Amino acid sequence: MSGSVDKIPTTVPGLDRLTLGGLPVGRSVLIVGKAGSGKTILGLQTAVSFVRQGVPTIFLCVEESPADMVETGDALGFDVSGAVTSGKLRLSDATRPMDGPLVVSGEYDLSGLVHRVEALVKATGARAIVLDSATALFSPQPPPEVVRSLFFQLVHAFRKLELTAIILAEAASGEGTLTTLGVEDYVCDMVIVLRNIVDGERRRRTIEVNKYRRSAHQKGEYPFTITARGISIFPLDAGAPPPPADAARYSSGFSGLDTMIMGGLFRDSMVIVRGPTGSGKTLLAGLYARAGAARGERVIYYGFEEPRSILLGNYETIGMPMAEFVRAGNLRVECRYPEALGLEDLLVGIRSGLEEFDPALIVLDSISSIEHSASEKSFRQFMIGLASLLREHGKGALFTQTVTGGAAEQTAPYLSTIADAILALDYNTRGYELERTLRVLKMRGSAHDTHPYRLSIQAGGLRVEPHAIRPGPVVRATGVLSGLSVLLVEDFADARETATFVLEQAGARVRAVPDAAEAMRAYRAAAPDVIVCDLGLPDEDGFAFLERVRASPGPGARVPAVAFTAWGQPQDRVRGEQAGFQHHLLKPVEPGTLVNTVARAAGRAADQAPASTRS
Amino acid sequence: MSTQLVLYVSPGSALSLKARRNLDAVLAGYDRGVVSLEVRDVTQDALKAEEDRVVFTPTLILKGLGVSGAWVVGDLSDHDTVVDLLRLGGVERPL
Repeated sequence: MSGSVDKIPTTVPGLDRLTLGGLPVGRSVLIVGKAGSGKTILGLQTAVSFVRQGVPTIFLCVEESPADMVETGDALGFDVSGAVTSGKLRLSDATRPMDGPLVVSGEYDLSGLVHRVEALVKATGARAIVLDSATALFSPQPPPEVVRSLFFQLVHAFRKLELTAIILAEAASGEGTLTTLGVEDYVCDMVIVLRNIVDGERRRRTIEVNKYRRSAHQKGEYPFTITARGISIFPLDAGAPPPPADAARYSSGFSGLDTMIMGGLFRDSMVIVRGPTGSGKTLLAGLYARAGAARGERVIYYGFEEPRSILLGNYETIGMPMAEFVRAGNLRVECRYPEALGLEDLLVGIRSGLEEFDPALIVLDSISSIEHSASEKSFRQFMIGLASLLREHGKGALFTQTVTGGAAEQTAPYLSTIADAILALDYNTRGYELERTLRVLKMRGSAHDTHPYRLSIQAGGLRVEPHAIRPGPVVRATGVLSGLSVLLVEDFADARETATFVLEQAGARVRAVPDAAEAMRAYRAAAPDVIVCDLGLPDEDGFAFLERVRASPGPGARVPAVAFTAWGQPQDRVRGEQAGFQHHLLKPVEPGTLVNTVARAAGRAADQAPASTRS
Repeated sequence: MSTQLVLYVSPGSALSLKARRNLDAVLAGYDRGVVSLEVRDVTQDALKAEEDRVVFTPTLILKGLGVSGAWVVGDLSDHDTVVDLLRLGGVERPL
């Protein structure tokens, strides 16, 4: 493949991306499609675009009269009449005479048309031509060898006149040949196929560059739509390069998350937030949208799950009011039901939103509602088309996605390819409590914390608490805690297991429990040598628990205690000391720090120098 | 009322020559005061060819047959085609 083909852009949205620059100058392009597939519109749209680029163009009307073409084009806003008036677009009538019989007697050729075109080229300086259509030109259809020879004559003439020719043709119904005439594609340098598929209850249009001599092109079918402004194609090359390492970052609207991803999201990146129903996806989407709006950026929030009034009401209720941003005009909230709207129409709506409102960020909550309203294939085309649209416009986006269980594996690979960042929200039911987590599955081009963080929903948004143990060097089985019994109170299962592992590696016997009630029972059953206790617990907090321990009878009440917590405010430390904690370990901690702190609490000499001490 | 025949031909085209020969043979029997013939070269009369919506050559257009015209595409090797169209338009061969 060489880039030596001289190309002229069509400026039809998306098409020049598929053809990697446009149509081959001075060559013939075949556009194949069934009746109603949009061939004429594509031909007309391109012709008008050529004219706007200063290329005089001839439009040979075989199917419809020039007057009808003007009407069609003007209705689509192509301003065909203006182009005709300027003298740059010449509509030439080659419709079959309807005011009398047409009889065939003997052999004939296309010299009449060829000479007409020659004369028009001389008169107008035309450098491009559209033939609408080859099928109508050869109707009734002569024998195949005649069609072939006549078509060759025509294409040869266009070539000699150095015209960039767009030839429209009716697609064949069956397999075998591409067109009903069955010859056109052999002599054209480029073939574009338009399809019109009924998918469920919806019409789905696709376009495919079937052949492009001497040029590379995007392969496969791409969705397109016919809007009030003509054809609009969604190129699917969403697998854009990762953002540069020095790309600007901005806050996700959620400071805990910003910490997990080392400072914030990249500008113009696409984020997928996935998780089961009720895991906090919409909240996170709201934080993202509000943060953008609060920075003075324009944001469009597409809600597909509930009506606008309910969505805004919900945000109001949880202390994240959107109204001020909506009033100020930089947050646009649009709620619709994707079922009521084809996916192409939705894409068109989003495209025009991007063009008219020029937002920095958009939110789609949720893409699962869209997924459920369409077939797998059209959803894939929608997502890839959307991603490509966002890349083209350089916009940041957040999509929420509802999944149930095994969130990491459930998503189609193309979605993971599209996303620059993937965040997984999840929860486990533990007794009467929900244990929520947030995990960064992917953050393209950036370091990030891969461990799940504990997530809590609170008024005004979300809060994360880091996992208890920071990834660090594996603790050597030094036996520094050998023989010590440790009561570990930690409600977050992941943290509990990791801390248990770390302490046991150092030789401790660990009794690990998830809440204060169980901790009290364990303490009464056998007083430990050291207590390591989380402060935020589901039943009563760690302060209250330790106060009860300190107030209990017996020597065990003086057991050394380490607060193991994400609560790091000065008042938390003061309260910890008042409750009787000797040490305050702020999560996340290095494994060595946890071991050394427990050793010191037990009055033993630490044998490892911690990488950093946060106690 | 006369019937006007216009034959569009291409220069240097064997089919066009054949059409002229065939048409001359057909018209030999007609009163040329009733049936007139004009031969137009599409390269010289491209704009008229466009007006007459000529696509193929040779094309014979029969005008003045009632309100409508008739188009005959091809080298006119079937003489009866023209004779029949004229007859349908009320023009009989006198001989």
